[in-house]
Amino acid sequence: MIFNLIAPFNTPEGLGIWIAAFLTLCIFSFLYKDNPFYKFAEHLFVGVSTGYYISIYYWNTLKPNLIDELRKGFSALGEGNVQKAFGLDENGSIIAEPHLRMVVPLMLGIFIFLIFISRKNAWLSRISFAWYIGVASGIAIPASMATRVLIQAQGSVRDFCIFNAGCANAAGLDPQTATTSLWINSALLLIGTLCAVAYFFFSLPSKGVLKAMNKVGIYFLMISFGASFGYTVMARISLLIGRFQFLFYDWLGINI
Amino acid sequence: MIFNFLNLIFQIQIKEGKGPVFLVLVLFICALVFFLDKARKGASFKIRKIAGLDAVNEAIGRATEMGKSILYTTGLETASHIATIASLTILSRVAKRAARYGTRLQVPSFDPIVMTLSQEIVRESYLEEGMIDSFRKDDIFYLTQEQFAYTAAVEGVLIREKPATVFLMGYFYAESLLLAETGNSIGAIQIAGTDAVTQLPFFIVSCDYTLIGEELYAASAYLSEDSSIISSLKAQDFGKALLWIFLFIGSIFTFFGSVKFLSIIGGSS
Repeated sequence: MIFNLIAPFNTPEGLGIWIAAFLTLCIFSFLYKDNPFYKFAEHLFVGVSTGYYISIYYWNTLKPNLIDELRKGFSALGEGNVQKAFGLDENGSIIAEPHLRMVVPLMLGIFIFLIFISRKNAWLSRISFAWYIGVASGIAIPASMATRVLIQAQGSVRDFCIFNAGCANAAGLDPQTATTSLWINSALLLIGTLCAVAYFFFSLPSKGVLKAMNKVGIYFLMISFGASFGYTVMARISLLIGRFQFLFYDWLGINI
Repeated sequence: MIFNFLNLIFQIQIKEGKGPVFLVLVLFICALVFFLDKARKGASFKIRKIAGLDAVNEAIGRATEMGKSILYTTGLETASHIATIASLTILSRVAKRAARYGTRLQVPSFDPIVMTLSQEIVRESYLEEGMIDSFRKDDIFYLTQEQFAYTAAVEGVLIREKPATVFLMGYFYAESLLLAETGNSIGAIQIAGTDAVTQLPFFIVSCDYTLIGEELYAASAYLSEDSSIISSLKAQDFGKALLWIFLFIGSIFTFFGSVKFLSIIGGSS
């Protein structure tokens, strides 16, 4: 164990280390019980992060996407160029910069704020929410279907090609790698997938073959959860080690 | 005309390499319309018991008996996430029960849009139950969009308010165990539901009931006990049955070296 100097208090970097160490200990104090130090760190964390995100949203989203676009749109309108003001080229085709077309999302945003301003007109917010949820679902559902269902299913089926030279070549797999252990692995994967999918049939009564499949499916799920648990816990421990390293090495100057 | 229109869209989707997704979605929508029509004609659908959802009423009742509050979090995703949408529909059911029993419901939110949606959903639920005077807008509040700041704040609420029931429904990241452990330490009955595969193990070990993936999506229909809504579950099962058949038959075909089948599913290199 080597003792270096404790972080200096009188330099900006040293002061930063002291503040970080103090706040780390404040948060760790929650392990004992709720206390004023934890409350202080919690409120500071929430307040600072909210302020930070407001700033991020303003500079990264509101200003470039709305304020600047509207400004450009109004200046084009002032020059008498109506088509450019609404983000259209000479032929009337839509260009990438929306300019005054951003009035539509602005209105949708204002509608949401009506909930807080006017209860009488709050119903308008439903237009915004319907738009938001509708567009988001429209984007999310096909994407999820492709990445989380179809590509996975295609991959599972494709892997069985490896046991046939012609099919393996067509699939771009190396038939030389087809060993007995791979065969067992592929069979287990297929049984596990079929049984796990069967577990999620809600409208069929869990009887007979389906009941047995459900049971096997839940065993497969629990084994995979167990493996995932162990893996993630190890990753979390490394985060804790990182924090202790900061406290001992950067703050107290103890090099273990 | 409709067929021509669909054919045109299908051709466009194939050109963009999205043919299979489009086909599956069309089949799913057809199944949905079919089962919805059956439900409207009076057919009743049975669904198997889901322990985590059967416990929802019990958990709300427990909070009522103890005179304590319910804490409901919709996770750490925006309203565009499927798990958040599912969570918001469950919130509606929970809020109705809470309103009926006069139990306080707190909803700390991670996202401002989700907070506004939650406020409207809870308000609507209280209105439907004729308990709008009991609705407390400030109980559905925004915290922050910083992951661990949000976690610290929710932990603070859990420790200080000591709710009798905690619902953790939606999409979660590394904070899942921190939230569930704190809820466990205060003796709250906890029902979690997520489709975040990496976080499910943490909920399983620290919560009383856990809704695994699809169970979260099924929750709204299950809790509604309404045939027309449950018909969507039948359509979901139809989709899963298609997947099951595809996996089973597809594996046999490819195992016996069917290059043709491989090219149909787009698996050839």
